[in-house]
Order: sequence, then C-alpha cells, then structure tokens
Amino acid sequence: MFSSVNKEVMRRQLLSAYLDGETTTAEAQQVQSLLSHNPELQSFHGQVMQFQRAVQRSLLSDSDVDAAQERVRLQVNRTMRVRPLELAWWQRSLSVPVPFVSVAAAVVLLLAAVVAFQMVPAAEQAAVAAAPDSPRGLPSFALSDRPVNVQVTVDPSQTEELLRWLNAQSEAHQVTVQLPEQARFQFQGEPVMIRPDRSHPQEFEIVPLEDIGE
Amino acid sequence: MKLRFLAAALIMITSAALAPVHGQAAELDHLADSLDALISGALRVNIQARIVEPGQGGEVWTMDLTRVTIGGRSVRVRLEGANIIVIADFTPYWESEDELLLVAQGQTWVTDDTAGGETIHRTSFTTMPIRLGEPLVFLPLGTDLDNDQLGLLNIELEINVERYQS
Repeated sequence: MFSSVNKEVMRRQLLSAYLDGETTTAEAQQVQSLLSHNPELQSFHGQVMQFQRAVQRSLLSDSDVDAAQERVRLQVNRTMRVRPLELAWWQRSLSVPVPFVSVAAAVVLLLAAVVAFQMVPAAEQAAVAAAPDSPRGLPSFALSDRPVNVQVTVDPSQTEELLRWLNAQSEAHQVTVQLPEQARFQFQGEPVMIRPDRSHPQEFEIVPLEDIGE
Repeated sequence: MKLRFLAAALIMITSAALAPVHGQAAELDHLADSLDALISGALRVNIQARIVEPGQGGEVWTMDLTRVTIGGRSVRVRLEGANIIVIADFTPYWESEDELLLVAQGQTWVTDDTAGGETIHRTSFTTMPIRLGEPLVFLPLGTDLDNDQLGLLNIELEINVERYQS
C-alpha cells in the first residue's frame, strides 16, 4: 500500500514538473504516456491547467502596475500632510546633544550660586549697618536690640518715593492722649504759642498769632 | 522643538542672572548714603502735655511723649477730654545747622456746658523760629493773665525739638 501511494505521489510530482517545464525529454515522454493511460492523472492535469490559466489571467501587466503605483501615490499625497521642504529659520529643528544640555544646566546653576554668594555679603553688611552701635545705625529700621527683629526692605531706586509716602501718611504719626474724665475746660483766650521764661514762670512773652476763623 | 525652547530658556536665564549683579552694588551704596542723610536730618520732638490750675500754677496732670520725624513731616497730638478735643500739628523745618522753623497748627473744640452745650471751635496757625532744644509752650485754650479764674483748668503743650542723633 505504501508503494502504491508512493507511486501516485511520484507521478503527481512528475506531472507538476512537466507543467512547470522542468522535466527532461525522457521524463516528458513518460508523463505523456502516463496521461494517455491514467484517467485520474488526466483529470488532475486538467485541473492544474485550468488553475494556471486562471492565475495568468489575473496577473497585471507592466502597464497596469505602473498605473496602480500612480494611483497609490496620488492617494497618499491627498491623505497625508506633507511638510514643505523650505522651513523658516525659527521652524527648523535644533539638534542639541544631551551632554551639551547637561553642561549648560550646570553653568546656569553655577552662575546662580555665584550670584547668591555675592548677595550674602551685601546682606551681612546691611545687617551690620543696622546694628545700633554702628555709626551708620538705623534704629528706626532694625530693632535688633529687641527680641523682635524687624527689617524694612527698600528698593534703592524708590527711596525718594518712600520719603514722600511717609510724609503723606499724616495719620500714621498721630498720638492720642486721653485727658482725665473729671476735668472740664473752657476757653480763656485765644490759642497762643509762647516761649516760657524759666526764671520768671509767671511772665510770658506773647507772640502774636494769626487766628483763622472760629 | 523642545530642545530649541530649552536652549532659548537657558540663554535667557543666564542673561537675567548676570544683569542685576553689577547694578546692585552701586544701588546699595546709594541707599546707604540716602539713609545716612535721612538719619542725620531726623528730629526728635518731645512733647509734654499737662493740665495746670492757672491761679495756683500747679500741675494736676502731665504726660510725656516723644516722636521722631524729619524736616517737613508733622507730628500730630490729639487730646480728648470729656468736653474738649484738641488737635495740634507741629511741623519742623530746617533753617540752618542749629535752627528750625516750627509751624504749629492747633484746633480746639470745647463744649460749653454753661451755654447750653454749645460747641465752640477755634483754630490757630503760627510759625516760630526756634533753636534745637529750645522749649515752646502751646496753649490751645489761651490764657487770661489779667483775670485768673480759680478752679479753671488750662492745658499746656510744651514742645522742644532736638536732633535725633545727638
């Protein structure tokens, strides 16, 4: 049984080689002899021939291939966004290697540290200047001799404006004094400002005033 | 794209970090000089408010206060009592090294109980040259030297101006 199946397989392989044009002359004669005596092999031969003809009909010619390629290219151009070839200088990409970025970041951090260290001595000088024992002391601005340390930061370019603002704050320096409740007062004359004579406390030098309405 | 922006940001940060360094030193010196001038011209205004009995000349009440100011900036004292309000503004101006010009403005409101509760308002404005440390006395109710009314109280504000750094 194995030998008959094996022979059938060999015949079909020989037939396929014959159809592909890959047989010798003797093998081709052998196939023709087999086809004339074997109906099954003839049927198989017919089916293969039909299949080959069908495949050949469906194959595209060279001109069809070129047309198909053109259609595909047009479709691709319609659906895809094509970047213009010429870019403005601000649109061009800049390729920066990663090590360069690291070095640049390190330089920036170093500069920032330098600036910070330069500012620290200036701050220390300001603190020293704010000390009450210093000839350039600013007791009104730094109360370092008390538990509470208050510092006022003034932009140097706006010192004059600060002074004008201080002058304008008329209510900031008002002091209110409560007189004894039981004391009652009356006008005894016109308001007056005098220079007291300490040696004669009862004698006063009256300086004329300008009384503006009542 | 991202790298381009990163590079531009790094350049900007570096420029910003370097720019104020050089100007700040000069500005600090200017600030120090300005503050020195400010302190050297500052004034200390000492005010003593007291209530006296004119007939007896004794003080029945007194209060001391001190304010620091600069030339041209006023110091305001407000006295409030049961029937009186006094607002006195004292503004010193530098005339010379040791002399000042003191401008004093006073407003007084007194409710006179004997006149049916009528409120009387008087105001005064005066300018007086003074020396540093020279005392002046402001009498918001005036004074009646010729007719001492016993029992009437009077208010006196004694002011003297000194240099803040003396």
